[in-house]
Amino acid sequence: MPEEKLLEVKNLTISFHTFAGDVSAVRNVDFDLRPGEVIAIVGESGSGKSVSTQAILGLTPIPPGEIKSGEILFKGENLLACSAKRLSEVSGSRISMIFQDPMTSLNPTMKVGNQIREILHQHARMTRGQSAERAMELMNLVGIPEPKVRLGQYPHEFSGGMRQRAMIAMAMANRPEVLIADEPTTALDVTIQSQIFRLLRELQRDFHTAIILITHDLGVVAGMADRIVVMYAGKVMEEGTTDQVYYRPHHPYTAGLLQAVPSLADDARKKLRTIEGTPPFLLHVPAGCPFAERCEYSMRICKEKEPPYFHPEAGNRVFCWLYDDGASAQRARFDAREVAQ
Amino acid sequence: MKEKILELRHLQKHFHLSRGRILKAVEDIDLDIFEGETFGLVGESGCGKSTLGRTIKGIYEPTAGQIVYQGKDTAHMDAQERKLYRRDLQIIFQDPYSSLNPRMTVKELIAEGLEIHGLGTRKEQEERVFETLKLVGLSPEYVTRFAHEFSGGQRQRLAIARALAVRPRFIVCDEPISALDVSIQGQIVNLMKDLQRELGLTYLFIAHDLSMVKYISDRVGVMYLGRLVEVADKAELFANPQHPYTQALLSSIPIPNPNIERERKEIPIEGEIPSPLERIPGCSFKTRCPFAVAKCDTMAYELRDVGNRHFVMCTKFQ
Repeated sequence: MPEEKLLEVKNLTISFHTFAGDVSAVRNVDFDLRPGEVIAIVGESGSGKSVSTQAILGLTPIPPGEIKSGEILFKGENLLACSAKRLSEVSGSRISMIFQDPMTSLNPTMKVGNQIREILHQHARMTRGQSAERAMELMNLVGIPEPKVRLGQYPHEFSGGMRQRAMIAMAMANRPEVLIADEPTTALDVTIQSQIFRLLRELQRDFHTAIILITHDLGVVAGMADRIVVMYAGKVMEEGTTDQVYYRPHHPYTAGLLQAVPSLADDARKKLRTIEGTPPFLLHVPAGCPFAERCEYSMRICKEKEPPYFHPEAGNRVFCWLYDDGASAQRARFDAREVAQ
Repeated sequence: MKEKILELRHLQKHFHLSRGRILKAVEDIDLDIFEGETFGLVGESGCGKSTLGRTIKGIYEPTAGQIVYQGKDTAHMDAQERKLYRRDLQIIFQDPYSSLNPRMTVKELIAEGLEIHGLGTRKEQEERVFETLKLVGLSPEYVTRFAHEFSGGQRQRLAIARALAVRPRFIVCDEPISALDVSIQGQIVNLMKDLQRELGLTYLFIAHDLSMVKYISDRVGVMYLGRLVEVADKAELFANPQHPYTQALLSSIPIPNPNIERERKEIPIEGEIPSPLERIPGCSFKTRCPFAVAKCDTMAYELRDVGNRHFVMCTKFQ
């Protein structure tokens, strides 16, 4: 795989000002994306997964949000420093995004066809005939039957799955190099979910589009992602290849998350393993690791000092003190944990 | 064999919409639920599973058919029996953000049912509130707080406490964990299982997450457009699904294991669930079914026993 990077998020820190104080939603987050690659950012609500990716397209609401530090480099150009005009050239054409709820991201008063063509006209010189033709192509591409009829309909006439397909058609309109999908199937039924993932896989294969898939569900990305970034309380806890994260999770949070999902093979007489407690409020950022309060393996240092990133194996980083040389005894306990298969 | 606690006989719930249209949310459900079991009900959105749960609870009046509770038809109960039925049968909703009155304290929330049913003196009610809070793993010192002060998982514990306070026997759980984070879902499911064992509760567990349904249920029913299309013991259903819809549904569950997931063979079903306003003669799944044949147009609406306590509604078996 070429080492060139398409998108790099570096040291990103975003806070939101509230009456109660500053909420540090994202703290020193780094990740990157290579051309044609699929990465998944996995985390629970409040982990900062959506906030950090919204910043890529300048969608952070400022105020109350504030980008405190960091760079977002798209092919070497810092999107956080460029002009609004330049950013709008990039967004929707080179980088595009689809959201969880397609009904709130489509304009209910505009025909779907016109919404697709609006995007085409915004980013390329096209005659009306050309954009109409291209809109038909896009509808076919995303598998919407009877495209001619559908283009003349309003979003409310579409079902949930069809709306998400229409959103994908709009996102793919200008052949973007990066597609950000923020929980694209959370609002959909499982059979429709698998249709949408099949479509995303095809697009990635046929157009070499790099995809950032944001999800709270480790199940859905196993077959699709090349790499996984696990976030918790505004921090990247672990990053690695998909196989490594699933088969050899190095962070106790990742391990806990994997165990919390009952597999279809699980024995119902056994108790589900859970992660006790709840995530911290980010009004008061904990001094140490944000997961320490819930971690079975936490040590004194975990609550006092943030760990650095350790690299237990190539291509992996983990935000955890267990990998410090001084913690070998505790780490042996973690390594010896019972793993349910 | 355990006793039947609830029997549904040809239960229907239709909604009358404008311009004379009728939405047939629940069409002819026949089902027995046994004391102490967890019956999992799965299906896609719009299949009628929540309407069924709410009709059982009495939030909706059934259009036709019977709900028989402990041998007694709920339609022919006198006022007192009906009140007892409503006390025995409680419901937990999906979204603990909208199901708890934001202006009531925890104590008021939990004691509301006790007051309605006139259970105990003020002092006894207070004790019951403390007891119930402990039962669901919340500290009794929370009694003066309001729902917004709690996280999603804690709110769902409150909703469970609210249902448990009146000592019910049957709880309709309408997607009780769908709105919660993965790490919290397990906590709630474990709590529900513990409570079932301690208190001998019967659950109707409505969900769309099949892996959780498999984990918690004893028997599972699959609904499609208002009808049950397959019912079986959990192990049998997951190992040996017979209805093409169940097969497709099971095959589309993503598996959190990359090697298995990359090899997963899906039975793709095209299209989406048709509108329940449409009238489809015969089998309502035939529009998406890869095995549809001519006789599906005249399918009898009957769950056939295919052996091993496994019931299927499909022309394959007719």
